[in-house]
Amino acid sequence: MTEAMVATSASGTLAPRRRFMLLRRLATHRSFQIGFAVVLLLALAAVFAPLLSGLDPSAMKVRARFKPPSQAYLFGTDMFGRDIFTRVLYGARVSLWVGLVVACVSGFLGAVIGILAAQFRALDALVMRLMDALMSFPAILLALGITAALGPRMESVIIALSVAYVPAGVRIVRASALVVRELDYVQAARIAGASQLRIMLRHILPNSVGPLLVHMSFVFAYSILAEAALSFLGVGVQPPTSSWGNIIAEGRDYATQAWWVMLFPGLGISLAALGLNLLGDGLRDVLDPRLKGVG
Amino acid sequence: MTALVSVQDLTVQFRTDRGWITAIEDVSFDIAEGDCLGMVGESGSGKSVTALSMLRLHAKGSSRIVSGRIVHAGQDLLQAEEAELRRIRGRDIAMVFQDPMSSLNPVLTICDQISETLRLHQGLSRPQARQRAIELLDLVRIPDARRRVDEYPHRLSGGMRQRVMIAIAIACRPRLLIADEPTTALDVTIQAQVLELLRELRAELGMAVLLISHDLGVIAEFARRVIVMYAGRIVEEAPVGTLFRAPRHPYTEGLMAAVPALDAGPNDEPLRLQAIPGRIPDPSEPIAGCRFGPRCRHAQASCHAAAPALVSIADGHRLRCTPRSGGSA
Amino acid sequence: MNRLIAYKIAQAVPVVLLVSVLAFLLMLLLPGDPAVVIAGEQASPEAIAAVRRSLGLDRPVLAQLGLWLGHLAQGDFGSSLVLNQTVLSAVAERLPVTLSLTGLSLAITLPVGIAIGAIAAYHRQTWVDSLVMSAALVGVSIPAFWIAILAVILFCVILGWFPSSGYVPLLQDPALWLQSLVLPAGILSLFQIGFLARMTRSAMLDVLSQDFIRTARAKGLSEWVTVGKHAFRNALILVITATGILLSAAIGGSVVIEQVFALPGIGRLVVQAILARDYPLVQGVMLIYGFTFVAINLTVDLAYTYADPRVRYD
Repeated sequence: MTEAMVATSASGTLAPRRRFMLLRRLATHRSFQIGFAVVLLLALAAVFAPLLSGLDPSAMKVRARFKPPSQAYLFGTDMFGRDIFTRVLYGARVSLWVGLVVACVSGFLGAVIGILAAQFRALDALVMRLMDALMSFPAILLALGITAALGPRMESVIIALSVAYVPAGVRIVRASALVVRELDYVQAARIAGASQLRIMLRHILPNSVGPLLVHMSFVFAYSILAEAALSFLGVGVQPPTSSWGNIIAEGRDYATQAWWVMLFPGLGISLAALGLNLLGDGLRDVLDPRLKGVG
Repeated sequence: MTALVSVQDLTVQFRTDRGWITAIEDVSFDIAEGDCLGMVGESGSGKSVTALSMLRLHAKGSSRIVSGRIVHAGQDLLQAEEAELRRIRGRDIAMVFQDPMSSLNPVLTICDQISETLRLHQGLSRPQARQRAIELLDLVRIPDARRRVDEYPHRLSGGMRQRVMIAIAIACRPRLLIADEPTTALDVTIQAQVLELLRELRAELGMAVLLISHDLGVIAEFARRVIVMYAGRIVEEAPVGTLFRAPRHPYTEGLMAAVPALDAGPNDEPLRLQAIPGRIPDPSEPIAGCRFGPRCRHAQASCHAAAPALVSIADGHRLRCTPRSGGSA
Repeated sequence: MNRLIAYKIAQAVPVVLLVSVLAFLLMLLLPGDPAVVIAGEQASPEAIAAVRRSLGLDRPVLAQLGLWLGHLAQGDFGSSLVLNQTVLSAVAERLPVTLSLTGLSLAITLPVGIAIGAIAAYHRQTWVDSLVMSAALVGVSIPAFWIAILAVILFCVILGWFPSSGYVPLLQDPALWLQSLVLPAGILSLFQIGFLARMTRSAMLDVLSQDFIRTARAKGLSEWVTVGKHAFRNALILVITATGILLSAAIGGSVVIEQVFALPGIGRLVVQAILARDYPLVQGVMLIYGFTFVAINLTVDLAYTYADPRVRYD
């Protein structure tokens, strides 16, 4: 199957120089810089948790109950004598991991479904009805229902939140794909005989991806907040596994005595969400409006 | 005799990522009562900037008027109070823009958008304004005006929308109508109709018209006097006949020569299109001498050293070119 | 235009159907056997089988679906295993609480969010804009339940201004009703204001850069009229959509807020039902939620056709 020179040379992927310019603009964007730094910091803290704190997050030391933050216990201890600093670090692992997986899975599924829906009109009607049905639920409630069905566990939360955020991703990718597929060079490729698959992969996908990436950083942020809320309610990650959400739940009853138990995980959540929102804002300023008309 | 509007030494700058750049510089011209002035130039030559400056319609944060005066009815519009300016806009001086679809509010009816001006400047009541709006639609030759007046802009064709824009502009019988590329977004046949309409309205209402276009044909068809702009400066101003038959500025000559000719050369060979070599200068890069110098066939050393001034070389003919206006090399 | 309305309503029907099917599927995913739960772990196999037959669980899946939809059509949303009532009555009892909470929070969110967003848009690129946007960003990043708890500690325990839990019905005592709801509704709206402000700002910015704004100014209209009438009418379209999202989000957020403030609303009901493994109740409530959201979307869609004349004739 041959393709016209026009179609192959005007490929959907950005010329290396263009891509470099985008990356440079990204790197100098203030929101992006701050967001990226914050997220990187938290990610490193999570990954190197065992190194940063030699303690075991579930180790209980009854004599060290309710100790306020000190040099020995950076964030203090809880009602079982467990070091909060360690628990927060390990909690970061859970919360960030859930957020990352949800963002990636929902982004990937959103891209696949969105592009397929834009290509095949028959599929489109059915898919969009389904997405509309799912989207009418706020994510929390949808996730609540699904975790209820699957049983309260981290995996359930991941599946539930992924399902909850897929429809938005589908919408975004589908919208971009619908625009891109009408662009001249894509029409040219089609006329030249390129297969559907090739058109989807080489032309439509690279150009629809920009807004999706922006969306994914926001999904990452929302998932962290949602997972925290679910774990707080008791239907998400279950103790003894620490997630920022359930640490807060545990600390709630002793809030007036040991305010530090609740404070630090909350700060962690806020910091992570803030960083990711800034990241997303930066990505959007650079990628989204510029890429809309790019051929 | 005093001009209706006198633009004097107008210099406007815009803020970009690279700092403030000068969009137009030392622009001066007069518009008399009932005048029919055309302003021609390429995209980016500063025509629209000049037009928008006359009503101070530029965005406040990203543009500034460095110097100049725009005198109308004895006052400098650039120094006037907001309230005074608002009285003049739409009533004494009105404007028609290039893209009628985006220039009309999509969620308001035609009647509403025309009535607004009438009720604001003439204090008409709602039913009075509505009646007058219908009359105006008739005046701009929109068929079935009584029904059309209650419709929304997206239901009308491009040509009709532009007529509505014109109706809004002439509603209060302004003394000056500024038309910024009014026909550019329209088909050729509709272009002719709109120009015809503008001509008739000008005659009927006795108003002055400043028509801005990059299309020489439109200018030749409509204007009595023409101003040629290049890179933010006026390079030539002449009566339309003189400009087209005997242009004096190298840029104007180039523009005329660039229009494709339908006839053949002396030996029956097809004539080549004559393009002006080079590109318009980047407004952020200052040029010491004449801004057209780098592209000019007749450029001399003095042209690159100092920018020529706009001088009057004949009655009603001004020129900004050292060699041509008799300046020495 | 009426045909358009009828069409949109008709379009909502399959969505409603889809939601019902999804809720049914939820039940299929459940771990464990509902028959065992009802009959009790110690029951004999025959008893369990009898329960299963009475619940229709021994029928093929499609038949079960049919049965389920049939019940729904008659208004039977199932009965709670733990509480001694039907799902519908359990929800009806708690509806006033959730309605009060979301209603009050929306009443705060809408005017404040729109005003802040509009001001930020009009003064774009000044310190006002930056401040507003930073505040909105922070608002969207902080977990609501955490702030809620901190607020309870500050305002209820330490300062004693508000009751830390409980709900007083409006009809019983309006003043106490308000007092019990101010803090929860305030916290709920705090996060929504940020979102609405951002949305309004970008909608206004988009509109303010349109050509017809320039035309309005060229006519000599004052800034108030230009922005208030011309700009706002257009931004309204997006704001209407945002309101729909806000309402749904408020309902979602109420789940957590009701839990923190111990308000006996539908959100609290559903969480308690999940923790108690009261699956019929969970399923029934989810279904009711689903219908509610479809109704909200439909209303927003219809409001949209009134606001934007361009959509009407398509």
